[in-house]
Amino acid sequence: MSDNVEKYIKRNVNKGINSRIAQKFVDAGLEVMRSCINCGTCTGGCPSGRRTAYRTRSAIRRALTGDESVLSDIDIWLCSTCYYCYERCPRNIPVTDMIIKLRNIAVEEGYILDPHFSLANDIFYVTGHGVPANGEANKKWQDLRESYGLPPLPPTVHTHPEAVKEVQELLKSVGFTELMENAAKLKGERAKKEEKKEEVK
Amino acid sequence: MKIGLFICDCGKNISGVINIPEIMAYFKKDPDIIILGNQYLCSESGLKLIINEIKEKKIKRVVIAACSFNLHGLLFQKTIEEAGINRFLISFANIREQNSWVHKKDPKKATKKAIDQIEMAIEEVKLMEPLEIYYSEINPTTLIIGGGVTGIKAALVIADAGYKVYLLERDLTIGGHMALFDKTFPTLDCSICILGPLMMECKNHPNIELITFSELKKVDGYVGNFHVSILKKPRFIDEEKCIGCYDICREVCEIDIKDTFFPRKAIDVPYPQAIPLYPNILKEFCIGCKACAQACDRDAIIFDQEPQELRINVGTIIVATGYKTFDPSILGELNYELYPDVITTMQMERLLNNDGPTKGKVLRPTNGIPPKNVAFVLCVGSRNKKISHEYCSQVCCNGAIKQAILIKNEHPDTKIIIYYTDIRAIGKNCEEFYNRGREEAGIRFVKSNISAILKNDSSDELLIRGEDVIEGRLFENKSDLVVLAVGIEPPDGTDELCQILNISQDTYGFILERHLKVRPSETSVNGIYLAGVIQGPKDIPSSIAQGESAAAKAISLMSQGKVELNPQIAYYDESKCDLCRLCEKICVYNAIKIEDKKLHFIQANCTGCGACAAMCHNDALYIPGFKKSQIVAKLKKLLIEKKEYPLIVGFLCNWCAYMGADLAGTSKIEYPSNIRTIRVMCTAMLDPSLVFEAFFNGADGVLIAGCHEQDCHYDSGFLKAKNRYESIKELLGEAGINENRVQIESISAGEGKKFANVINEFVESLKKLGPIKPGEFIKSVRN
Repeated sequence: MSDNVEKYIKRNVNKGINSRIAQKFVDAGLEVMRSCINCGTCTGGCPSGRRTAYRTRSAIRRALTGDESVLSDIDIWLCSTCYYCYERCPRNIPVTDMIIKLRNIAVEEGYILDPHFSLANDIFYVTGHGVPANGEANKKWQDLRESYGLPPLPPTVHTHPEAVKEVQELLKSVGFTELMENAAKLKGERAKKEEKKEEVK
Repeated sequence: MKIGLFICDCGKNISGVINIPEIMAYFKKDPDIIILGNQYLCSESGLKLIINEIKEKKIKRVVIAACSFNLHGLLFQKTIEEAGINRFLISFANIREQNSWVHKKDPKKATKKAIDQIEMAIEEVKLMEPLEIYYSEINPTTLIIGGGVTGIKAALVIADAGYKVYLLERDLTIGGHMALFDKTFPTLDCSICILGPLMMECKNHPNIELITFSELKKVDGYVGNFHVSILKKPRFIDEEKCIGCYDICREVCEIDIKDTFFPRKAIDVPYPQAIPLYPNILKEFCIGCKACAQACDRDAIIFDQEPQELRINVGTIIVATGYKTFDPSILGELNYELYPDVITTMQMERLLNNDGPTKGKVLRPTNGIPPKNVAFVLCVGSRNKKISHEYCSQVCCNGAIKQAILIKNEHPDTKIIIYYTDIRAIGKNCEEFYNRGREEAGIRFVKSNISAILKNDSSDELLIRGEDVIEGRLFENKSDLVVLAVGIEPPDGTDELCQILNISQDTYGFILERHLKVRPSETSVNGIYLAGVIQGPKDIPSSIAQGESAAAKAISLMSQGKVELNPQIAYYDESKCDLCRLCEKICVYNAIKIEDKKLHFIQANCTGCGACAAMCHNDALYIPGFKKSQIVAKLKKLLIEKKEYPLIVGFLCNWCAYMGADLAGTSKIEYPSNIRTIRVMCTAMLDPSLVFEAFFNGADGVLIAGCHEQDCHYDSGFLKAKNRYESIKELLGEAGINENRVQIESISAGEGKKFANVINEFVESLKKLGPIKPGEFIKSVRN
């Protein structure tokens, strides 16, 4: 078959529901989404959706059917949690909360974006800050603080470097470290599978 | 006292399982009991035999051991009446549906159960009292509250049947919302052209008296005899003198009240077709120049007119108060209050109406120019959980399509988009109407709810944002005029009205019907009917149909002249009453009033649910046939010798659970024979002390089974019982009885299988608990 024809043939027929994932959604309390009548209020008012491919209603609809693509797609990470949809939903679905829950499930299943993973492991875990404020690169923040009569660094791990260990201990005990390790493992496995597929082709 | 015990074989239905000779031998010991068996008691020969036996042997009371009371109860009651005994001196042992048909596998146990059932019936009949059937006269007059199209049609039906009708209207004119519409869907006929003649007919009908611009203040009394107080508000017009030539007074009035949709003078009529056609003065705008009074050549204007109180007596009442439209200003994203070009469908009707402010031209409120692009937004205030309006308002889809077609007819160039979530073109010919809108009129339909209506500062066009959910695409469309298809709500004052009439409302505030399917036009109070949108959103044809149905109900009651009052209602012993008022509070039927240190009992209002009797701590109130002493006597006799273990006493409500148990019988669903049932009218009549009485006499378990909450024959009877059950549980613990020995269940008349399952499970759980014994359970005491 020539490439010319092949590009017009699409075979993405939905072959049923992934019941494990669907159950996971239900366990997370996502069944309130069953109230959805597909009116489109959430998508229509979404400021992120006006600029990106993110479609709130579609994410909810896919989650309802247990469609794993809702976890693997970048969509749910494009929500800016502005709560417009949450406020306007005529069915009283806490849409934004649902999206956050979907993100949690996505990470559990190993669907985490590289920048998020790197932020969690390389910055948050190492420095104890999600957005570090020390070092030369952040000089302007320190200046700003000083202009208000504050010490240049906040009373966090920045001024108590010995507390980084405690933060790391905390992250371990709440299971965050394990979550990240698991995500990395699942992500790696998935990448290998993809590679094999490519090779077969 | 001689008691006749008549046992039916029912062919082999009963005698095939239960050993009837053994039963006969058992009861022969008592000389007062005269036993007679027959193959078929309900047959003509069987009934004759009963009559002869009663007359010959001078029997005073009768026990029938046969099928369920619900099947042939009335037949046997009438039979003994024929033999000269009061029809209430009878008792029934249900040894077919609740015995032989469900315990086929164990004839021995079935026979023992039958003996218990008959013994309980004998104890019951001993304490029965003869009752007289009372009648209440009916005043052949109807009050209809609400003069919209529903009330008008109901009034005409009743008046044509020859009964007097008072048609009460809160507004200045009858006609309601329909009189404000331009055309009606799906026929597009002129609204006022079909309604106007009916309004006129109401005004001229000799049997109809219009009471307009008046409000209901108080209603006393009961079915057939309601006493009504009405407050007539001042129009500042002498209705005797005014001839409705409103031009003269209106012309001289200097005060123009500017309103986009309802402009008028300080003295004016609501619209030219108003009935009755009197002008009125709006006091808040009038400056008191009295120019109108001078101009009026009939001296019909009275500036100091006072409100007036009217009193009328009626026999029946129909509530047809209609609706109000939803106010969309609480949905901030639609910016209804901010942009004048965002209007509601009701306001659109004013623009379309020839008598409206624009003489039927659709013009933008901001600049008075016909709009090029019109958008309709559906489901505004309907199907919305956030504002507790989960219901569909039923008329907005068709109404919006109608308005769109009317605009298209006038200006075919106008581009119209209807934004919908789901189109519900309900009603005869309405789907075709919707199709015409698309195919012939060329209206565009976009499946989307609207997320926001905005406006660009530099342009006077509105922007509509939403998601075309079929395409999955976002849009931002421009529009000159946005029409919000607003939903329907109960009108203001519905809560107060329901309090005055003592009728129930649903979750949304609409008035609750007796039964959604089979009694849609009746309220919870006898003699008060309901019709139209106040029962729930509906279109004009359905409203009229219900109006006429309510009228038929009222006529059928009034034509009887008197109403038979069920004598099995609450009775009271004045000497025992200590005026604690618990009964007054629990009665939802307005049957009990405590005034002047005396309990007043309105027989006609009582339905015999017995909730009051169960609340009465002095036993001053009682329901004949269901007296506490009767039930106690039955329990004592039953438990004097426990014939089975575990033994369950089941209190079953007459309307649901007892019927459910009967259905288990007719469906031949086997279940353990451990239950002995006691029929009660409602679980709410169950005095908690009876549960204790059962346990103290040795019952191993008590089952209380009633209706599902929403199906309760007495509105909230089962709920009351359920609440009491909670307190019984707590007390049981304190009395040293395991609280799991009481079970409360909702079993509908259609749930025979569920009844059997409940008994199966309950027997199993009681077996685990073992036989009841004092102090078996020590409740942990919280510190």
